[in-house]
Amino acid sequence: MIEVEQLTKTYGKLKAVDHISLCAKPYEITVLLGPNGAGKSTTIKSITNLLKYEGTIRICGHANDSIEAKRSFGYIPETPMLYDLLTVKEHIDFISHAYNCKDNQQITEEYLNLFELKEKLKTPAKELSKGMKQKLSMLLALIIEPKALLVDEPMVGLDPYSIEATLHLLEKLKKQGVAILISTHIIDVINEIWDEAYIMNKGQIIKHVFKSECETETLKNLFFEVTGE
Amino acid sequence: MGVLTRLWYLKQKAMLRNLFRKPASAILTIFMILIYGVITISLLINPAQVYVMKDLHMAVLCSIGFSALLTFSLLLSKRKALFYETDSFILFSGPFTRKQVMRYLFSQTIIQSLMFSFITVFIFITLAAGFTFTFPFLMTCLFGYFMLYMFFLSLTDYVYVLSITNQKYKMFSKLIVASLVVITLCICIVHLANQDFQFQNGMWTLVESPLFYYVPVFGWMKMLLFGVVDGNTMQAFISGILMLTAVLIVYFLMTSFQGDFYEQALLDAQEITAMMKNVKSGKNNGTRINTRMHKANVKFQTGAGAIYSKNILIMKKTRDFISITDIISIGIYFSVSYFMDLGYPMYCYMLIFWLFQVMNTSDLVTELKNYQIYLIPAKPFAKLWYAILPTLYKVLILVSVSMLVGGVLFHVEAMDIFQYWLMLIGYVSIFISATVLSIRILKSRTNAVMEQMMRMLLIILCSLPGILLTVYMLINQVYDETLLFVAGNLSLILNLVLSACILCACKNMLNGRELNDD
Repeated sequence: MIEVEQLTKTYGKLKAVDHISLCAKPYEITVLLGPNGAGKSTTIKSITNLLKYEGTIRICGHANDSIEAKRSFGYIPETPMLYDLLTVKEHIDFISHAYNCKDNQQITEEYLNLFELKEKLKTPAKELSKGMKQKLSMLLALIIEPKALLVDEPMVGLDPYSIEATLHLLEKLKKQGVAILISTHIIDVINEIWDEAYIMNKGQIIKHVFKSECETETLKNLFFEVTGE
Repeated sequence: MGVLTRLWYLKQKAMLRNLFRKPASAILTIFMILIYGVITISLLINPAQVYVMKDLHMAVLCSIGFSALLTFSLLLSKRKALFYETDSFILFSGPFTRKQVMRYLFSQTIIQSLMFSFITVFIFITLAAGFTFTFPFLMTCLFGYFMLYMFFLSLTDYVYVLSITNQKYKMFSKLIVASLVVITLCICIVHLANQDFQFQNGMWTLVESPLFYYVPVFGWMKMLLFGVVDGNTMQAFISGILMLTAVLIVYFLMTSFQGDFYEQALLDAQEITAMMKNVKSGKNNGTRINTRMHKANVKFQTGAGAIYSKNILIMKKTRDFISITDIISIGIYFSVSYFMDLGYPMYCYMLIFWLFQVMNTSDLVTELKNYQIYLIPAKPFAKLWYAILPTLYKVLILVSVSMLVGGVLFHVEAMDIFQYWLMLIGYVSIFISATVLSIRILKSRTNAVMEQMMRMLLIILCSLPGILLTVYMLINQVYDETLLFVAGNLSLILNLVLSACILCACKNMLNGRELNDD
């Protein structure tokens, strides 16, 4: 579970995020929507403890700066940050040892197959295409078997087949009890899989909606209605 | 050409505007101009009481040596491009003739040459501290270096476009450098033979010998300067004309070049632009885009230790333990202190400058900017320690070997080597911790240039107590074993304590929010 209470983040005089509260529960896919500059990425980075903020953030019951919290969540950033000279296998070894999850061969194997990275095990990251880098970034976040998953614009750079596979994977993880929080502005892609959505604009949450509450209205229509765009 | 002149003008204006866009950047720019301005003027109007170089010839040769290093490294660089990506797209796809493009390139070279010549003249003035100079001499110096850089930078571009059209011309760069080195060596040998191979004395007389004037361009530079110093107008005029002619020949060759180089030049421009972006953002070491990798293995440690294993693996793969630049730098420092009889203490002092250089190119900065290590579930201080460890090992080993080899060649007692070694260990620790501190203070807000300058400033501030002790020892020619022991240990203890304090103050940095917050 990811719990955010009264999160505020300011850059000088600008309030990028203004007293927002949200919760991503296990067995659910929670979506953070909003136009450019709404404060989505700031929220995600605050949750991952990469920014200083005011408010309280807990991951699986632990403060987000604790070792326990770090062990519990996986983070897939919008731009993959990989080590150019390390191969796919070396990246996997590094993360497995850093997170002390060396007995994850089976799950690693599964993700290697899913992301079609098995043939690229010896390829250095710098030689991977943009999409393959994104897949490797996802794989690294998933092999630690996170209880909570933070995803920032997950489909950027992926081909249609991979987008489909990723959506299936997110649903599978959801069924396994992972709390998933996705930040995106590409609404069409997540329309089928979301359970709960927070719509942000100008640093504030302007709408909190459950899929079960929307009968015929699509998330896209709702988004345009509340953001007035 | 009107359009391209306007583009050039707009770009220069934008560059200046960008420097003054933010208050911090504007203050820093003015601060740097003032610092360098004050240093230059004070050196000129108030000559130092102590001569840095005993001989003006040596100061001139050292500054020429610096320009040779710079131009040779550009000529031999494997990664070249004429422009950055945006310029390439506009120039290669726009309605411009090849001649216009080449002239535009030449106009870029003018700015670059001016910058390089200012830097070289500054170095020369610093090296020649103690001598008084006239304004015409300084202007001649600036003109000479400007011509020297114009020639070599344009030649580098010309060889580059030639090699695109035909691979066999690629060796021209090596050939040019090799020819100049061979000519210089031949002159050295001829001169030393005339001096019955009395090495140390021979080197001194060689420095003053007019034989050096026969080395193309570099020799002409010395000829020009000493033409002015000696009041030999004809000598100065001939050398000036020779340099100008050399530049005009390359200009003519470039503007009349008809080969098709656009496609490869565009690809190279994209690569260089990507590399520069990486360097500026600190995402990774930009120069590694085309690094050759070797097979290597490592047994990963668990937790924070995995960071150390990963860095050792990268080091093994790139065999990036000591670079050619490191070897050249240490070699130069040794040669200067040995042949100029400056002694082992000065050699050690020079190694401190080399440490500055190493810390600027260290992977530590890159490592501390990758978000991966903040997310690793381990104690922040442990992560910081393991991130520092590879750099610490590398620098310690290189410093120790350089000092030991230097000590043996200088015939220094083992105990003295050990004392100086202790002193430098203190500096190693302070330099590493100051690098961490600068990242902690600067976070991710600034550009790479500002970061480097701030880091330099912090390193100087942190190592000031140690430096003052060292300078005191050098000035007072302290060779007394007891004093050396006390000073060495005091400096070491002072620096180690300061380093420990800094690292403790930064211990939470790798928790994440301490670093990336704006």
